[in-house]
Amino acid sequence: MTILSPDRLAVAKTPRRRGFRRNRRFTPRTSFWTPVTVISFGVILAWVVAAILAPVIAPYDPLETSGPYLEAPSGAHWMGTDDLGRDVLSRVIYGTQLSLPLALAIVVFSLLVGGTVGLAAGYFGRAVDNVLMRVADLVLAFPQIILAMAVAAAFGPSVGNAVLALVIVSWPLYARIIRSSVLSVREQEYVFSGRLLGSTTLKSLVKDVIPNSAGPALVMATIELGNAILMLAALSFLGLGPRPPAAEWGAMIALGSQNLGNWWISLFPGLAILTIVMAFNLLGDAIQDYLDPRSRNARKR
Amino acid sequence: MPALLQMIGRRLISAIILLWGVTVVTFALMTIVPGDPAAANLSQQAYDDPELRAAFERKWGLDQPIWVQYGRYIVNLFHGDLGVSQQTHRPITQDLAQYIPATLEIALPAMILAIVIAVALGMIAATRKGSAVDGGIRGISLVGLSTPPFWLALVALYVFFYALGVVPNGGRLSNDYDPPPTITGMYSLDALFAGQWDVFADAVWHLILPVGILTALSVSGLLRFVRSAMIEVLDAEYIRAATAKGLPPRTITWRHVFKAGLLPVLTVSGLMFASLLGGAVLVEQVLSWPGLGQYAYKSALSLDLQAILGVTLFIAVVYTLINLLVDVLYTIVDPRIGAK
Amino acid sequence: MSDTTLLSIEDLSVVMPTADGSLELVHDTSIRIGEGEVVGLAGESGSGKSMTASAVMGILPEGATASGRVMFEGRDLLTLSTRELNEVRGNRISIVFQDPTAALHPLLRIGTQITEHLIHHTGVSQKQADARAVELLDLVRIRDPHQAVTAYPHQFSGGMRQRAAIAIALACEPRLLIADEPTTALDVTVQAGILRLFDRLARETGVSMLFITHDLGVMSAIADRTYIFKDGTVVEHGATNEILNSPSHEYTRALIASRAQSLAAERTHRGGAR
Repeated sequence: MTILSPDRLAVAKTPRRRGFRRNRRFTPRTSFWTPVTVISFGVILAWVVAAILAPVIAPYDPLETSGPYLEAPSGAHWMGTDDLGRDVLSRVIYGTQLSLPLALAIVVFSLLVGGTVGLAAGYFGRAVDNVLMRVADLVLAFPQIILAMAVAAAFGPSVGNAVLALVIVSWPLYARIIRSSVLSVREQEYVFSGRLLGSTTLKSLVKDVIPNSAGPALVMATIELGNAILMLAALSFLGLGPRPPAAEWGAMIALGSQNLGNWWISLFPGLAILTIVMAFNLLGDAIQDYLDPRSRNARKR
Repeated sequence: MPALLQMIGRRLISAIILLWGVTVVTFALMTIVPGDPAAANLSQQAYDDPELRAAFERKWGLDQPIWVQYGRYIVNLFHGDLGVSQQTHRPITQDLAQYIPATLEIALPAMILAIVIAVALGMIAATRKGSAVDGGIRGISLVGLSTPPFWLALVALYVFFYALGVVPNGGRLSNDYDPPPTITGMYSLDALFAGQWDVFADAVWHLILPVGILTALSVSGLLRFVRSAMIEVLDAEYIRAATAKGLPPRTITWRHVFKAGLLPVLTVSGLMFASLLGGAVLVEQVLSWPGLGQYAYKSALSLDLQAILGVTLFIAVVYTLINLLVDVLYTIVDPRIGAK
Repeated sequence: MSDTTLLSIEDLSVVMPTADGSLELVHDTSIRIGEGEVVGLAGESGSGKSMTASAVMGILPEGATASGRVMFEGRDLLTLSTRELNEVRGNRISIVFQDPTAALHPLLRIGTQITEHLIHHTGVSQKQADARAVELLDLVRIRDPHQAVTAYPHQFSGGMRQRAAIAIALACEPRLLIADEPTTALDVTVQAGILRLFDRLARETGVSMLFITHDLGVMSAIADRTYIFKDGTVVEHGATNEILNSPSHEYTRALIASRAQSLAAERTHRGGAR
């Protein structure tokens, strides 16, 4: 998503809450599965199923002409046809096969790269930390789309390069999370062992960092899955992602922009993106609320 | 006061280092890039002709080793020369001078409007936390955050231009008008200065849709943050103490809560400007708005190294300036800072 | 023992819903504060004493509900609307919180924090309010009060901040001052000074006080009568001297004993550290 959610930045910037505060809000802790959470999960699940079962549930072949050109939504084509006579509904369904796995790949790789950088920054500290975090800052502050655009354009528009571009743009978020986790783990060790055992080995540090950072990283990853889908769509909208005639939602919207009157060509892919990204955002929020120590403290009193 | 100057000084130094770093990185990236500017800019025939290709490379200094190119670039930089664009064949500074104001013309109003609206809605949502109003506001914010900007632009274009006909079909001016004499590069302001009321009206009319879309997108992101910042403030002991003093809720909201929550909101707003530029890229594409986004896009496609570098440097400069501005604002608004 | 009752808390209960059902933070509590009295409320942390104060001031945490009666000037505070309650709060009854750093607004000047509710409640002019603010800061023995009114809380030390908070509480000349563990968050060296201040204020201005603390030593220094609080309710009450010298409830005895122990430990520690 090119208009960055400041929450994204805020989570990335603030390491931990400052100390313990006499919490005045006693919110009764509810189960994780609120109606909203269930619906979000359901939506995501539905799209995943659509991706897996695309050949079965799509009425037509997404790449073949299956009806008259530019036909409005009708009984035969629920979402109409595009300028090549392809069924929009089928293309929307098949779009999941591109967007979902790619988004997952982007998040996984960003997590790996960012995690490594964050680990290095936290472990080596001082100059290394400084430099790495400055770079991370700059990357984060740069308009995502311009950076991604430049990388994708430079390496040639393709699926792989779009993923690469988006990983380059996203790793700093995970780097910050992992880094602050490393710092807090080390702080705890210092308190407990009183430096008796000398400096930590990298291996044991990783062992402690993983559970410590799992929560925030999971929240970030969930929200980032949505963001990756948005960015992928943006890149392919600009012609820098998966090449036509692939049924990618962003490219479909681009096609529709040339046929403004035929609103169905752009509307439905956009709605697809909207629903799935909303679901990811809501789910990420729900996970964050559930993991939030403040609601946990409420039980003690 | 000297502390403030010191801080500005330090910031400037890191800014220069940053910008230098940006030039290095961009140049370095361009060396490993498999793309060939010659191939991107010449027709197939011209490219196949070795003489023409050599002439092209000579003209753009592409035949020199990369560090020579880099050296020449830095020297030129100090003379205020950013090089010449391969695709427009004009000095890049001239290109930037034309395209940047166009983007600023939509980005600045959007930013200001977004802050005002987001703060208002965010405070309402925070003070009525858990209510239907809060839920509604959060819902709108969520939709805005999850919407692809270019799709939103298309939908808005369809609804307001195609269906309702109340806004123009993109562009900065209608065909029957000429741009006003350039002072700022922003047509609306320049028309105002020149006293060309009809041009002014037309320019503003063209601004409505892009500014509206960018504002809507920015509000969504900012709103969540304002709300959570305000909620945290509302939780604070000093707000409780203010209630215990018997002050009316309105006073507490606007003097106590608002003031305390404003600082983090300011920081985030500064950061948001860069992402606003990103959103502008996509909106410019849909609405045929000849701004920096469009320029960056075309430069990226034609692998115009110097143009891309120019754009990147500009953005880095903006980033530094905004950070600096936010820091200065912080010292002004928060009395705790600088108290050493 | 005073003849006229200023504040009468009758059968107060405070209930808070949690994930595992309702939690009774305070139950069946009755406290009486007479005119000109300093009444102490002693008990361990978490016993519900602060909750009681919050209930009186109407600043219970979100979700908590209070039942019973809190009679003040012929009205039950628990039944008042927010607007009616705001006429009382900060005006007729004030509260001083435990942590002055948290209770003072970080971005408002001390002077403003004194004058804003003063003007609101009494309608005096800004100039008059400013003058009064200087008087008040002088009353609480803050040095150079003319300079202090323009200062921000972070420019003060902990003890000074609490003095400022007391000045704020006294601005409208309330009849009752509630002090919720006012010395607990302060440096030991500063605590005595604040206590002396409270004592002096009680004697000089005649303001009644509800003094909440976990420290029996503080209680004996300042309170005329004391209520011992345990698990959300009063277990013993009476004149402070009588309670401390001949406690009837075993909890009171335990409190006194642990206090003696910690005092002894302090003494030996100090002796040994030399």
